[in-house]
Amino acid sequence: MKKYSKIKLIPIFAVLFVLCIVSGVRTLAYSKSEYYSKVFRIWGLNTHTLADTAPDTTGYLLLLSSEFSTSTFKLQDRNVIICDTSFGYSNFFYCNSESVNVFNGTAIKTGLCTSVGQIKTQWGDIYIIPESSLYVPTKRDEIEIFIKALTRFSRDVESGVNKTVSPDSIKQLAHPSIFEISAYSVSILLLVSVLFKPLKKVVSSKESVFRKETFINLYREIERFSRNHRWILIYLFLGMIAFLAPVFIGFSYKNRGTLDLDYVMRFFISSLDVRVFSRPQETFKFIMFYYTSALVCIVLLLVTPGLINIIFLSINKVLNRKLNKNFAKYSLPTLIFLGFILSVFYDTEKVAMFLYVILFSIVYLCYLTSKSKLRVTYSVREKVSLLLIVILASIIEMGYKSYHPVKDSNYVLEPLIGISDQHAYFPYSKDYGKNALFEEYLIKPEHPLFLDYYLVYHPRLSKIQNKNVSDFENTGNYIILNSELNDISKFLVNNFEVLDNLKHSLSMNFGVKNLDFSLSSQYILKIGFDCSEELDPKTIYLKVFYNSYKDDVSEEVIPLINFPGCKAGMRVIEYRLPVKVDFIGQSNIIFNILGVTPSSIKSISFYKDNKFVPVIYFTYDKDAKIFLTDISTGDLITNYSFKEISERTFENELDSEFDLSEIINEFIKDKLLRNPFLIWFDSNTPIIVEKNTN
Amino acid sequence: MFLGFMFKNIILGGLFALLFVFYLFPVDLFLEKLLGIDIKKTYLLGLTLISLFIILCVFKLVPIFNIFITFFIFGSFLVGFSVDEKYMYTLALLFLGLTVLFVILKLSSLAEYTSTLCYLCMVLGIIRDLFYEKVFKN
Repeated sequence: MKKYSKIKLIPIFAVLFVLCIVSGVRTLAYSKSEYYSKVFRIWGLNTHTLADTAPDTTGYLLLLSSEFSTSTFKLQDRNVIICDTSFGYSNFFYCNSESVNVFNGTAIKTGLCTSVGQIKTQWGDIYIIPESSLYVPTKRDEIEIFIKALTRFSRDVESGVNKTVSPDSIKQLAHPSIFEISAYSVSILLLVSVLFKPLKKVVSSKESVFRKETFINLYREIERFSRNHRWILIYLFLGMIAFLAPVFIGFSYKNRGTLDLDYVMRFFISSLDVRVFSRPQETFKFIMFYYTSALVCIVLLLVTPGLINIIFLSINKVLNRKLNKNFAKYSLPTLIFLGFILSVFYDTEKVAMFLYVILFSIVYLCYLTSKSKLRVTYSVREKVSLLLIVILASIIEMGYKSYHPVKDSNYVLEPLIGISDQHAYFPYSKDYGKNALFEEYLIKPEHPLFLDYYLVYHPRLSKIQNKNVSDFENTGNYIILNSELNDISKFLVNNFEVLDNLKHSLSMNFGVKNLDFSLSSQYILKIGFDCSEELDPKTIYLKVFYNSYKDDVSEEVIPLINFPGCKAGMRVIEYRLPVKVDFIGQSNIIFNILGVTPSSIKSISFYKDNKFVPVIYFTYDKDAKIFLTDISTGDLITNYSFKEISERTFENELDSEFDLSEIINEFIKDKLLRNPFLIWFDSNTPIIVEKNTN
Repeated sequence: MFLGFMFKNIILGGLFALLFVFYLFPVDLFLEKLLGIDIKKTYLLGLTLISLFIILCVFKLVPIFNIFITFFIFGSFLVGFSVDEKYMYTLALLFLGLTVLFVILKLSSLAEYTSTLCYLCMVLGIIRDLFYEKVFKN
């Protein structure tokens, strides 16, 4: 048995491991015609290109119009021509990447924005599709519907023979729509099989379903199932874990290079993310979701009945105690007294947890006292004694507090830089203890000095302000700390004038001032892609930020282009792409192009109704600490942070030495620093600072 | 900030003082005479306790989640204190064994965790041994 299982399992694990690796392998580069042929095959149409060595001649020959000038070939019975250049064919049609004009054939309107030409010649049938219908996402949806209809038509024509269009049945199974529908069926099947009996009862019951008994019965049913099938569930759990472990281990080795349990745990939790339903095309994640959910259900089935039993037993045990009278007599006043002292003389935030414990204890003791009908009585002498103790203790505590106020002496002084060397390298991350403050550390910085998100010293400007970016004013000297591109873009929509300081020749991020979006106008983004870069077919998105209402900034992500890849020998390929946003009105607009590297873009220009609209490009470096610095004259500088910071102002003497520890200690007392916090200078290179020991 | 600090202290301290007075002295009888309605000591204590809970929640001294955690820890302690101490000692022994096993397997972080659990179970068992009869009737 052992031997058999070993033989069987090794190939399975190997296949699983290979699948894991393969799923993450980058797509290899395609030529444009190969890419479109692949897309058409996904949609069900059997196509082949000139480059195919063993084409299925019963299918469609897919050609780019640009290939007519570079290759010699014969048209086949059925052809699809994609017009990526201006092209005319005898007296039959003329097309370019945007449209097709048919002179001797039919123009088929495939949707609101697209049309396809169909001609029948002596050499064969030809469908002509302008390329923009395939790379502009909204048009592509319409063409997809048309191609699927054409596929069905082609199959019907093939005299009822049920021929599989795609030879790869696994790919066909993994096709999102098929998979999605089958996933629904599997879900329903699983749910029905688990809840068959309760469902049957619900359906056959003549009384109302929403009664307490229904839910109790449902729980009992689950409990009975779990008890009766305990061993099956345990074996199933172990089996599923054995199957899942190699997948997780494979991923851990692939992505981390080692077995990282933390990564495995995070991977497991992320595989339970229900948002996978919004991305049905991610088949592997979809399967993982079902698998891990099933595993969690099995664990719950195994654990829940026992856990609920223990909870009820525990509650029963705790609530059915009989309190000792003597204990009840003194514990309650003691607890109340303790609560009083803590809440009056201590920082409530620090003792809050104790206060809760005291309250829970008082409630519990009160419950037991009243339940066991204990008559706790106090003589006048006892009452007076208790009251006197409270008053006396309060006076002592008050006196102690006034003579020993909380002082710095509670803190322990430590060296700021824990090395004996007089030179320190910055940026420096400092971890500090609960009551730690730092010994004097005198330096003379030559660059602006920051503590986390606070500017604390500037070598040329003596007055420093720290503010949140929401209070930004485009006046005087300022520094804006860096943040996520989203935060920066939103900020720029409301402070467009800042872009004047950021102008760049070309960037994937750019803004248009006061753009008027209206339904009647047409907005086009013209992008030139650099084909010398290795550009694979992919969907490229455009993120648009605009002022929806007053200072509120809305963002929208729209698919910009289904990039088909570059044609061999091409240097730059340019596309005119329509931009449609769900916004009508005038606003400063910030655009971010997503899904492509900056070096692969050669040109970007924006048009409204075919008129050029000037844009301002700006650079964004996610690794930079400072987004923008604007310093002219004056002695005041304001540091703006995207993180929530407390408004702090400093005034430093520029010629004297600066005690770094003094300001850090102040920040620690006011709880303004993270732990560890970062001491850093505005410099691209690490800074060596000499500590002054005089 | 200082005023805020004082305000919270005064309110909470005042409520605890009120609880103390309600518990020890027959305020219920005094109020009954004063208002002419039936008032029980339990009502006064209950109301003050509820007010304390509400005030603590309103002040947001700790996140709500932490309150549940505190309640859970308190409940676990009570359960541990109520059950037979043999359970605690057996669990302590089990965790001790696991600690040794994890040390041998060089899973030091897990060993540290189980050793803490062993220590907690032992302490709970000892506390139960020492104080159970003083707190509860058998």
